[in-house]
Amino acid sequence: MSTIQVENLSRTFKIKGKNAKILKAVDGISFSVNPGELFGFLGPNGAGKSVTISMLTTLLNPTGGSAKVAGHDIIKERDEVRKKVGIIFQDTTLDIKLTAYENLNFHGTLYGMSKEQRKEQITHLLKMVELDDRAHSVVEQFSGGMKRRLEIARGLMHFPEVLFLDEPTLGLDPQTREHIWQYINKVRREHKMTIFLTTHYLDEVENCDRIAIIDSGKIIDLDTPAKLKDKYNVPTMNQVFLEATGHGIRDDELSGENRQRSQRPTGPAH
Amino acid sequence: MNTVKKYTNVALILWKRDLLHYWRNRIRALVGLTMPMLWLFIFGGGMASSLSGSSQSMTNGSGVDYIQFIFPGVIAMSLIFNAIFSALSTVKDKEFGFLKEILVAPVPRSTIVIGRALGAASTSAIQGTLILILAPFIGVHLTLTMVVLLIPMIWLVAFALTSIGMVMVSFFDNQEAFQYVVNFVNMPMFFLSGALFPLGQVPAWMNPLVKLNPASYAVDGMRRIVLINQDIPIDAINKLSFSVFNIYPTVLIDIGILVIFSVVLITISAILFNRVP
Repeated sequence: MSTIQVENLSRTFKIKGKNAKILKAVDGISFSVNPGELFGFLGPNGAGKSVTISMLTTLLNPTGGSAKVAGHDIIKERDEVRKKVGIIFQDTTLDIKLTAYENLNFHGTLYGMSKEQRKEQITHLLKMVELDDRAHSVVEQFSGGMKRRLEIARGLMHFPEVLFLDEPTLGLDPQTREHIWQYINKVRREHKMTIFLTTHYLDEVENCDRIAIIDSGKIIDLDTPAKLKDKYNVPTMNQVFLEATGHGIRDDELSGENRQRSQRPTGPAH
Repeated sequence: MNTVKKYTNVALILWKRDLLHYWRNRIRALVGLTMPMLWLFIFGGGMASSLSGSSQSMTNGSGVDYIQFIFPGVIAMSLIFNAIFSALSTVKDKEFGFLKEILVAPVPRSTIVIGRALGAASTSAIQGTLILILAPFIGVHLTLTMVVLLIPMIWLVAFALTSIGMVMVSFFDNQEAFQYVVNFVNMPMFFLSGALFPLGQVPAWMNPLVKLNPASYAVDGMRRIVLINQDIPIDAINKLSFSVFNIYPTVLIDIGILVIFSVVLITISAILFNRVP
């Protein structure tokens, strides 16, 4: 049985004001993610990636279609879904006035973990993301990369079955991005977890087992990175994206490096 | 772990988080005392001395000194302004994304609302309680019974007023808009609450507003506790109060109204939080 099963999922938004219209953010997508798979959602900003994650994690109701996560319906069994998923949001959602330890302890309590369980898991996870020496520092003092690592630890705190990562490396420098990926791969190895990831960094999707290319709310293609390159007969994912969608992933940018410099270090909203 | 215990822990950790924030920003507590001081020493002191000679005094011929009258009013003022405003922390969480971390958790929304309200209420309650320190300086004689009764009353009032803010936060995504609108709620509530003048002889048009204002019962309850414990006769106290269907509220009636008010608003707030966009 698939860990994530999505059937014709849609979400529209009413845009008010002068240019009032109905925006199809997600337009009838269907796919499934197998247990233990690292599944990537690749697409430009505004393609519908975050909206999909919001729906699959019960923060937003779909306007059409249905989906099951870890065997539970995202509309009818919200609480069951909530218990089984861990999420790392695109923008930092840490309490910066609390310490790293307090942030994780807060999370563990929300998910009904016992005191002993929380303590053990916090020690283990802080060590894993190499923040054990900063456990009692206030998050305000952390760099962008440290915050991300702490959020990854927090997402794993309650032993989720599925981990959602919404642009986990957005706004981080290349070195930190590399570092974050080491953790993600470690999590996969050690916890055998299903991971659903969104990104618009083309080099990162090579790590995924399978990729869905999403553009304007629709899935254009879906396969393993190798098979996609074969299919379009091109050597890089960049070209795959170009062939599949007819445009670059971000027409207004030349390379990932340039993008880095123009961004705030903490990962801005889009 | 059983469910009740689990959800209690959730409400408690949400509460604790607000207290940690308050403690890490404790200088704010001292700054927050300056407003009540201005009202008590300058406004209260000035009014009391300019009214002391006149036969038709501000206190409706009850014989109660204006300073005694305004003291519980200033505590209520602090609670009115701080409590509704303290719900801002939830709007902040929305703006900075932390609310998402709370909302994706498998926790009933009512637990979240209660935890947030407790947190927001206690910071304003602490602020209100601190005003008691000022009492000796303006000639209000605090007795042990008075303090023991006032403190829980302050917490109840803080919770009731915070619940107004908790309903409001559902409609706001950014802090500026919330702060702007809050002023249109707490200013009229304050002026119509009887904090500054007795409500017994207000113009007819104002009368229904006064009686519908939850802050009126907050002021009345606290004022009764302060005055009863200074052996002021109940007739004199009633002259400073207002009657609903010819019945003067008692401390217990005030408490009852505030409790019902809190329960209704917290329920509405939980329903609003339960909506998924």
